[in-house]
Amino acid sequence: MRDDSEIIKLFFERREEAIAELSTKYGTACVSLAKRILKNEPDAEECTNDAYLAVWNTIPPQKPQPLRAYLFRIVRNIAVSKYHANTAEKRNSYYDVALDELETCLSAYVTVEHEIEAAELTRQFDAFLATLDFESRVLFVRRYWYSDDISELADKFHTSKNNISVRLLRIRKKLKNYLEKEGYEL
Amino acid sequence: MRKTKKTLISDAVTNIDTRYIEEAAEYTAATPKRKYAFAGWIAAAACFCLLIAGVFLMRQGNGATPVTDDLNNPVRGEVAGTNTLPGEDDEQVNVYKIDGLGIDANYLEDMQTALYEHGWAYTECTLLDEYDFVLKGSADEITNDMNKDECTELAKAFLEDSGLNALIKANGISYKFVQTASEGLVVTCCYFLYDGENTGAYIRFIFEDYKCIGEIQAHIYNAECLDALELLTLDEALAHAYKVNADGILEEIDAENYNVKGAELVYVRGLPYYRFNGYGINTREVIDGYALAVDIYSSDFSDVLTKEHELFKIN
Repeated sequence: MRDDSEIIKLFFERREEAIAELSTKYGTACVSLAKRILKNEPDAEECTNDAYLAVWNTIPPQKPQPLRAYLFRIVRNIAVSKYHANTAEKRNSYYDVALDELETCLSAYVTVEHEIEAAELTRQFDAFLATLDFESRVLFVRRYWYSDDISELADKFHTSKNNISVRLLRIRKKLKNYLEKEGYEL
Repeated sequence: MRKTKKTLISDAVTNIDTRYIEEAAEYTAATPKRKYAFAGWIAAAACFCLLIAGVFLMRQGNGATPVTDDLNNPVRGEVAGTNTLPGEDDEQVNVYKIDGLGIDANYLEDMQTALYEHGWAYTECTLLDEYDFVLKGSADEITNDMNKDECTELAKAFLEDSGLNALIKANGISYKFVQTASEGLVVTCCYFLYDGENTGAYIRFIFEDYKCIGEIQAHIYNAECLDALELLTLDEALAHAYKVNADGILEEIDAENYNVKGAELVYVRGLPYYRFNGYGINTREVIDGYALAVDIYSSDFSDVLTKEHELFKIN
């Protein structure tokens, strides 16, 4: 399997095998990520293909480092857009459950300009994540960015589902306290 | 523009720093780890433990503890391995495998003799099972009007004179005294330590209004420390709550249907539980409740600990 720099080189050379290599290396993970958000296999595959196209259109000029996170972010963006487009049908996806958990950390409505708030909140999330220990940080990101469900996390972390739930609960409490200190209405 | 917080969170989380996304993608957990080097200790946690408890345990032995106003304030129990309640982040408590050693009649006689020497007017001994017994007696005359220091001195003297001290030292165990006082109760607790670490075994002397309470419940067992696990908070633990039925064994309940009025961290069969009182919100049923204070399924020894949990029984 080619390493990321070789795949990026293929994109720069505009060789179509770049997408095949990307798919071979990260395809399964991309579909899995999209499926957790959309709860629908065909939609997830469509998202992944759209993401490959987006990568094709953005490299060059982009030269992402690391390539994997870049691709995953695109997959997630597309999947979330699709999710918002048909929310009513897709309720109860892992993504939805994960969002419900995080929702308790913030006030009911945000009344200022949304994009500005989102950017600011992202900055707060980044700062908060920096305060966590490595495993807690990975757990948070796996749960709320990758939308892994509790069973998957228990397997990944070699522990019980109950233990994962408790650890997530504590991280959310820390996040709530952190945001409160930063002046977010709770 | 008004947006729901779900949309906001979704957008904000999506854009977190790339290094965190990459870090989480790369993550592979190490093989399950042991949390304490101490947890591997298998050999010598043989610790003879005499637990002297007064009113609380005897009431427990006689059935459900009545709900009283006192229970509005959680009782902060002293438990080997931790002195705080409820659990704070990353706080850990030890879990044990408990084996009965069998009651040695000579040892019990020595105990009774020691009690006489400390002024107990009479003693009556009842065996409960292979390693539990109850001693009843009275020591009012000589223990009346003691101050806190004298309570501790009496506990120390008892430990020395009963012969327990020699047994403890022979097993490489040391001990320390911790005393608390609240509303007429003085609790002098002696924690047993092995290599500086709490073993989970302890003796508890309870004095009421500075008079030694005349009822003693004791456990003698061999405690083998298996692991150190994260202490759950009471709220977390109540997700899996039980009530003690008429046979003294646990029946799972939904804690949300009960008004939980008190909580104390106690060990039963080597496992830490939150013991609470409660009454049914609709039924008014009064219960003695227990909730496991650790996640035993996350331990390398979950099979052993599960068995101990299943064997839970209150006499």
